[in-house]
Order: sequence, then structure tokens, then C-alpha cells
Amino acid sequence: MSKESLKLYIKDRTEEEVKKIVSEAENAADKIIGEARSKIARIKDEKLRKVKKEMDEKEKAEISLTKMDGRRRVMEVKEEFLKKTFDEVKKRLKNFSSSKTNERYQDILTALAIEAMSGIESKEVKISANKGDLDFLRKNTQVIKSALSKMKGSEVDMELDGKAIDTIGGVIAYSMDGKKIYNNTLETRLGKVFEEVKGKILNVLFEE
Amino acid sequence: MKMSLDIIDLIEEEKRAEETIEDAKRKANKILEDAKRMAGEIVEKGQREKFFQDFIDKRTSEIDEDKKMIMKQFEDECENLAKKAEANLSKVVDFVLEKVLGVEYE
Repeated sequence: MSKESLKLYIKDRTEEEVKKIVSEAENAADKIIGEARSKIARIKDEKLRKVKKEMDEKEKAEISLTKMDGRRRVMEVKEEFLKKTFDEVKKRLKNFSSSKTNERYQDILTALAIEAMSGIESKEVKISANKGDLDFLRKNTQVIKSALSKMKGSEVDMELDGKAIDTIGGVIAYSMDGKKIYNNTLETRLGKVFEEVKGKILNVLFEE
Repeated sequence: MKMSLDIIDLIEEEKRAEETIEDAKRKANKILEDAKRMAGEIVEKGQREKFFQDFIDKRTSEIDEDKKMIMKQFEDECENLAKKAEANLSKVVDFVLEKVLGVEYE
């Protein structure tokens, strides 16, 4: 082999070796960068999943809170009108019972007294009421006693409390030992009625 | 004499070839080092990046819209309830009054 041929051989072999070295390095470099990009893609996927989940949870929580808030507002409106009804009834009861000459109220007061006394299992019953009502009851003691005795089938003694109580109307009946009490004031009746028929009141208030 | 000059020449050629290969190795090392640095930067930048802000903004805005719509429905319901109650109030008051003033023995 000539010297020139040998030199050419060395040159070719060197070029090949250089190409191989550089090519391997470039392949390895591509792999390193590719792995870095894959890693970031995985991180992005994970973050996207996390963000989606967080946003879904946020949506669920916020919608739920908003609905709770809305339902609370609806309840507030209903409560507001229940209170309005209660206050209006109370006002009308006050006007109705404050008229001294209202015969209808006097009849009702008599009935309230008889009902309260008949609810006390005792031969002697004490009655409390406001000043105006006590005056009326005092004047009509006999009528009430006689109606009650007739209803119960035996004599019942009725004693009026000397001290007037603060009520818009109606009576409180007590047994003489104070152990049995029947509160038949208009406020107490209003409270009871309201509790008993609250559902009906709500239905009628909000019907078409 | 010519023969030994040829051998020297060939040895020189071989030396040059080795240097060329060494240069190629240095170049390869540089390529790898650059790739590692670039990979590090890609990961670092990726980890720093605030992903999906547009997605978050869009979803937040959708949620806000839904909330507004729900609240509007409840507000309409409240308004409707108030109107009905105003119209029925006097009827209900009469009904309750009747109940309060009604006494059993009658």
C-alpha cells in the first residue's frame, strides 16, 4: 500500500470516528432534552388534573353556598310575613279588646273565662285579668258562675284577683293553691294558635 | 532514507487523526453539557410556569355567572312570595283572629 493510500485510509477512518462520536453525542443530547420535555408534559398533565379537580370542587362548594344563601333569603321573607301577620293580629286584638263597650268582645271574654275555669279541676277558681276585663268580670260574676256550674253539673266558686295583670285581654285561671293554671289571655292564645296553624298560615299567605 | 521519511509522515498523520478525534470528543462533551443545561432550564422553567391561568379564569367566570343566575332565581322567588303575601295578608289575619277568638265551649 502506498503512503498516500495509507494517509487516505487514516483520514477516512478518522472522519468516520468523528462522525460516530458527534452523532452519538447528538443522539444522547436529543434524548436528554426529550426526557426533560416529557417530564414537563407529565407535570403539566398532573397540574391540569389537579386544577380541574380544584375548580370542580370550588364550583360545587360555591354553588352549594349560593343555594343555601338563596334558601335563607326565601326563609327570611316567609319569617318576615309570619311576623307581620302575628303583629297585625296582635294589633287588631288589642283594638278589639280595648273597647269597653264592645259586646262581641264581652261575649268572648265571658267564654274565655268559662273555658279557663272549666280547665281547672277545682271547686274554687281564682281569675286574673287586666283592669278593664276585671271590671267587666266583676259585674258578670254570677252569669259566669252559673254558666260554668251548669256546664260542670256542680257549683264552682269564682274569685277575682284584686291585682290587674298586664295583658291585652282574656284571663288566667288558677286553682286556689296555685298549682293548676290555665292561661287564656289573648297573647297566649295567639301564640298557641300560631304554633298550631303555622303550616296553614304559610300555605294561605303564599298561595296564588 | 525515503522509507523512514514516509513512516514519520504517516506517524504525523496518525497524530493529527488522534487530535481530530480528541477535538470531536471535546465537541461531543460540549454537546452533552449543553443538552443537560438546556434540559435543566426546560424543567426549571416548566416548574416555574403558572399553568392554566386562562382555564382558571374561564372556569371562575363560569362559576360566577352560575351563582348570579341562581341568586337571581331566588330573588325572583322572594319577590313573588312577597307579592302573594301582601295580597293574602288580610285573609290570613282574619283566619288567625277567628282561631284566637274562637272558644271551645261555644
